[in-house]
This record gives sequence, structure tokens and C-alpha cells, in this order.
Amino acid sequence: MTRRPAGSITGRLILTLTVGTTLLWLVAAIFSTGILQHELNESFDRALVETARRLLPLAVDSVQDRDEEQGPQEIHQFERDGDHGLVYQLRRPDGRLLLRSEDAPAAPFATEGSAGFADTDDYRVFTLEDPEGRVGIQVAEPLARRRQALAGSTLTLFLPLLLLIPLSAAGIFVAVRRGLRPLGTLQAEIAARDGANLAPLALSGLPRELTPIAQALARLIDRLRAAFEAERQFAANSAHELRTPIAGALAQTQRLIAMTGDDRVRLEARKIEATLRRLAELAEKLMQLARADAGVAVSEVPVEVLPILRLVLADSRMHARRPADIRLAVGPGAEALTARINVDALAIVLRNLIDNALVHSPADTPVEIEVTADGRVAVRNAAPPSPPRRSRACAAASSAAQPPPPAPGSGWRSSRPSSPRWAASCSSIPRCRAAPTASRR
Amino acid sequence: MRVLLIEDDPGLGEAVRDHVAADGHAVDWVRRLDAAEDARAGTPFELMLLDLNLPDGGGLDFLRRLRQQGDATPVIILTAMDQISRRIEGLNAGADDYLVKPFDLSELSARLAAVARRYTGNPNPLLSIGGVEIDLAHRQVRRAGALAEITGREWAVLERLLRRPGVVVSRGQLEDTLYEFGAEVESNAVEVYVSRLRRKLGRELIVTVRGLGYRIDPR
Repeated sequence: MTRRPAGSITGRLILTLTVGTTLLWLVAAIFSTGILQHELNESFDRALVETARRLLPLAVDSVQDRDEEQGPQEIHQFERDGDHGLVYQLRRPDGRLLLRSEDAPAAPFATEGSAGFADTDDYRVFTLEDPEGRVGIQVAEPLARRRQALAGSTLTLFLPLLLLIPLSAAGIFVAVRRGLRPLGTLQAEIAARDGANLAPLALSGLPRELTPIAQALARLIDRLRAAFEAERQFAANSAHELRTPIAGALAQTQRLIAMTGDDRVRLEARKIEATLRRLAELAEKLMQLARADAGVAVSEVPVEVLPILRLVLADSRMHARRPADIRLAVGPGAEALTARINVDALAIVLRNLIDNALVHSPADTPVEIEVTADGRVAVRNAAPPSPPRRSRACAAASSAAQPPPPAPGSGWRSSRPSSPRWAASCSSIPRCRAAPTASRR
Repeated sequence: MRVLLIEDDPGLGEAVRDHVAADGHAVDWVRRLDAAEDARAGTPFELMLLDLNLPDGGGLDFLRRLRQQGDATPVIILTAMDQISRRIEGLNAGADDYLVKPFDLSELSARLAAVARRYTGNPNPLLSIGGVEIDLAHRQVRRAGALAEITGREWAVLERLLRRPGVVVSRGQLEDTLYEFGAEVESNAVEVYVSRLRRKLGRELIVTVRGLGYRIDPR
């Protein structure tokens, strides 16, 4: 069963906090709206009661001597701004209408019962009768007006949320990003580590929560480094175990060649000598590959490139199958060139490039090595250019760490595994007369 | 030259010993560091061929001890450790050269001769003394342009005298040089080989200093 990727912690935190905050605000606003509506209704009802109590004595007095045969009297109001506020009706207990405000309906309010609150389709009505039971007053408020007031109040509560929610989301985003910055730092530190770079993690300045993780990683890196070192040591020891018997066999064969007076024996011994040399070369390549795979190519301390190059050059001159014309040109400022490269890895790469250039160099032509202050070591010979397909393959092998095409005697094979570990560039570039160039930066 | 070979591999050690001896040097071959210490205590060696991985310890530690004791004997490291880092370590420990196994015996001869020349203060392998031309690198001697046939033992005596032309070399020192040739070294061996060299290269080349020994006349 495969798990879906967990996604971004930052994204999840921002989303969760924003949604959570928004929901809390909404719940709070809804709760507040409920309370507000209740309070408003109570307030409006109190206004109805108060109005009825104040109007009833006046109304009773004004209708006392009134001729009821004239029909209900209509009380004109002073100018209003279209605000249909409270209306009232004064009536007898039998329902006969005695008096009403101008904008009150002509028909009595269709309420049941005598005193107290009642709702019609359009009005909230409060009925109050005088203590003697002669008349009753009904004060009503249009429900539409009340609803409008409630809606306005509710809107006042919710409108700020439209601004506050995006603002809080932005604030959460900034806070989360700042809070998780040490995680990003740790992530970058870890991302910089690989088989080539096992330098200790920078643990200072990490928050308390991350310190155990970083410490566990540091222990893991230590163990990896020890494992790499053990592997490299094993390769080195294997070299010794393999090389010494070969050296013994080669030396004894050369002694036989020197001592024998029999030409046939000498001829056969030379064949054995040649085989042993090939075996030695093969063993050397195998050891280099083993070291390149096991080795850590990035060095924690910078090393001087030229002394290593000169040692490699001396070796290459000595082991060349024919007199080698190797010319070293050191550019201005390159004498003190340093690089954070493992000494042995650098030597393997240089040795392979130089040997390769020597093997494929036409007779009586030099191999030129150029070191420049910008960190480039170029090895050139006068060989015809490689076919484009092969050149591309070499470049691709260098950049993508894919196995290069078979190239007997070429330096690509054993220089390949190291190069991605220190981002070396490896190219075969026709120059002038299309002479191939291989360079390490 | 008296050479101490410290190598634990029997096949390689035997071949190197025979080859260096055939080059005209006296070789003592030991397989352990403690044996090397014993050999040093009894004999002054002029060059050491040192393996690094030995049954009773590391060759580099031995070399460092040597240098700490003020012993300036030239040392060539013979090792299977081909990493540049190890080589730098070896050279820093005081080695004069570093030869990675497997190597050609001819290369060993060349390195050995080069180191020896460096220590005698005469890095030029071509000498010309009184009409005799000597190529130390190729072990060839010409008198009046004609190649002279020199045997291994004759060469050993000549090379010992040539190391410091004009300086007297005692009979005992020349005997030491021949010692490795074993039972065949007789009481008059030095006189015999000096006489043969004079016959081949001219009587004036080697001067007898009565009571002291012999020297090459550098004129």
C-alpha cells in the first residue's frame, strides 16, 4: 500500500489555521447575532408596551365624549420621512374601532385574545385595555421594519469578517513561514549532504524542537562517514592484497628474462610479463572504480591542486608506454589554486584524463595540460575529434551520471563516478584542428 | 651500495633482492621491522627499500622513527598503496621516493640510482674521469670511446668509489659492498676487483692510498 505524499507542512498549517480561525469567527458572529436579535426584539417590544401605556390614557380621554356614530376618527401625523413606524388603533371591547393613527390599517388588527403581544402577518401588536374595560389600545410595529433593523445589525457584525479573514490568513502565512524558517535551514543543510558531502550539520541556532532531529541526523551522517571510510579502507587493503602478488610475479618474470640465455624462454617470459602488466592495469582500474564509488570526493578542507597534478604527471611520464611529451602550462594566479576535492579522487580523475590523452595521442605530438586560475584543468592532445555521438554520450554521462559508452583505455569510465560528486564538467570539445579537450573544473 | 630491503612478500622480495644485487649492490633482505632494526644496528646501510604493510607494524612509523633518530639514510618506499594521499604522507614522513607495486625492476634500478646520486651530491648520471666515461644510470663504462665489459661485482666496487670521487674508501667499506655476494668474497677480493678495473679502465683511474684504502682520481 502506498501512502500519498504528505504535502507541505507550511500549506497545511496555513490552511488549517485560517479555516479554524474563520470557523471560530463565524460561530462567534452567529452566536452574537442570535443574542443581538433577542435583545433587539425585547427592546422593540418594550417600546410597544411603553407607547401603549402612554397613549391609552390620552386616547381614553379624547374619545370619552365622542359621538361614535361618526365612525372611527383618523389621527393625522406630522410629516414623516416615509418611516413607517409605530401605528395604533383604539377600539371598544366589542371590536368597534374608535380611533386609529394615519398609517394604521382601517380594519382592526386580526389578533386573538385581549391583552399582550400578538403577531399578524405584517405587524407585531401589543394590546392594552383600560382598567375599566371601556376601551383598548393596540400599538403595532411593522414586522418588515423590525426585520430590516435586525438585518442591518447582523450585517454590521459580519461585514468586518470579510476583511479580517484575508488579513488573518496573511498574518498566519507570515507567522508560519517565519516559524518554520529553521526547518528550511535544516532542510537545506540536509539537502547539501550526499555521498560526496558528509560534513557535520550546523546545529547551532536550531529551535529546541528540531535539535533532536538534527542530532539524530548528525549521528546518522557520522555512521555513514564511518561506513564510507571503512569501504574505502577495504578497497585500499584489497589493492594491497591484489597488487603485491602481481608485483612479485612480474618481478620474478623480469628476473627470468634477465637471467635466461634461451631465446624461446625469454619470448614466453615476455608474454607472461605483458599479461601481468595488463592484469596490473586492470587491477588498478578496478581499485580506482571501487574507491570512486566508495570515496567521498568533496573535501572539507581545500587542497592545493598543482602539487597533486605534478605527482600525477610524474607517474604518467614514468608509466607511459612510449616516451611522453607532456607539457604543463600554469596560468597567472593558478600556482596557488586550491579546491575542496578529495586528494585521491582528484588524482584518479587527472590520472585517467592524462593517461587517456597519452593513449590516444598521435606519435610525436604533445599532450598539453593547462591550469587556469578560474579552477579549470584542461588536458588536450592532437587526436582527431571523437565522433559527435560519443562526445554527447560522454557529456551526458558526466552530467547525468549515466554509464558512458564502452571506451577501452579511455579515462571516462573511472573518472565518471567521481565527477557528479563535485559537479565537475566533462566535455570533449573540438578546438582549432578539432583536437579533443577534456577538462575538469 | 649496501641496501636494506624490508619486504614481507617472499616472491617479490626474492626478485628485488636478486635484481638489486645484479645491479652491483649488496642487499640485506629482511621481512619484518624488528629484523630491520637489528640489521641497522649491525650494519650501516646506504639505502633502504621499505614496504609499508609489514607483519609487525607500519613502514611509515618505522620511517618516522628513523628520521626522528636523525638517520638520514635514503629510503625508497615500495608499496601497493597507490593513493596520492598515502604518497604525500610517505614523502612527508621522510621518504626519498615512492614506488607503487607492481613496478618494473628497471624502474626500481633507475630510482635507486637517482636517489643514490642525489645523496652523493652528484645528480648527473654521466661522469667523465681521465678519459673514462661512466653512465651511472645505464651502468655503462667507455674507455676511449670503447664499451668496457664490467661485471656486477666490479661495478659495485667502481660505483662505491665513484660515489665521492677523490675521497678515500677503506678496504673494509669495499668489502661491505661486496659482502652480499656471500661466500665468494675472499680476503683478497677487493684487490682482485680493483686490479680487474684497472686493467679495463686504466691504472690511473683508481689510486691506492697505502694503509687507508682506495680512491678515484678525479682528474
